[in-house]
Amino acid sequence: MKTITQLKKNVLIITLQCDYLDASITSDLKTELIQSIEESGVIQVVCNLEHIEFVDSSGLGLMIALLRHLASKNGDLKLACMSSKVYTIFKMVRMHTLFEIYSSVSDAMHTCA
Amino acid sequence: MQPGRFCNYIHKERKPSCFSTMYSSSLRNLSEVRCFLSRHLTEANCEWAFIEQVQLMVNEAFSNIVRHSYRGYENQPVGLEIQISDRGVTCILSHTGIEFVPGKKVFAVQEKPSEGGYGLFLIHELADMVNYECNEDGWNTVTMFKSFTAGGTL
Repeated sequence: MKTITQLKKNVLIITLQCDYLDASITSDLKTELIQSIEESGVIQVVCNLEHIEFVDSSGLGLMIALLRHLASKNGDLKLACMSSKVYTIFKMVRMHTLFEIYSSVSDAMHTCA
Repeated sequence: MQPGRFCNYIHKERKPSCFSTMYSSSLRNLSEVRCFLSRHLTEANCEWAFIEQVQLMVNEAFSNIVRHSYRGYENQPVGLEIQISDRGVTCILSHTGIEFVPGKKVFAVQEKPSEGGYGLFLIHELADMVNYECNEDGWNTVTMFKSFTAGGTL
């Protein structure tokens, strides 16, 4: 169990329980997350990254995959509680421009249509 | 080839600290690779921000070896050696798989973002020098040097 999901006001909140997103887990995690999104029936998702201390390229790819999956349904993925070190990696590959990133889950929730 | 073979001629100007270990070619070993690096670099009084950059750099190279050089086959050898000098840290990954040349610098996110392709970009962003060598004994080595004072964009 690497995630906790909550459905609030038509927004799916996904909290990643692991402290790293690397190539050893991203394949299974992608399947798990897309399944959770499909089962929820919603297209607005907030991903809570508060526990994540390390992200590698496959973790970045996972976020892109989720974003594209939701965008194909006219939905959106917003990221919350990203640590400064993870944000630095996003910035390095210029992915910080692709995502809406919020300091808290509630802030991200407020922007969801 | 043993991962420790380079210890005697790199950074001759000072006695280097050198540590080496061997892993099997499984992505499940990524955590242990990062722990190995943090343990020895912490003991060498490296700053934590520097250690994180080295961890990411080596993590990406190790992943590429497992996924591309060994095509996902497990139980193949991957050597890791780190050499710590007063100039910086040299990380050498060695393997017997298919040649993997990390010489092409790809770009980060474009207008249409891809799910993959960031690994090589990160390696080149984080390392001050990347070198690939195919040895006669069948071992390939990826050598990455990171200076304490230059390079790296984290």
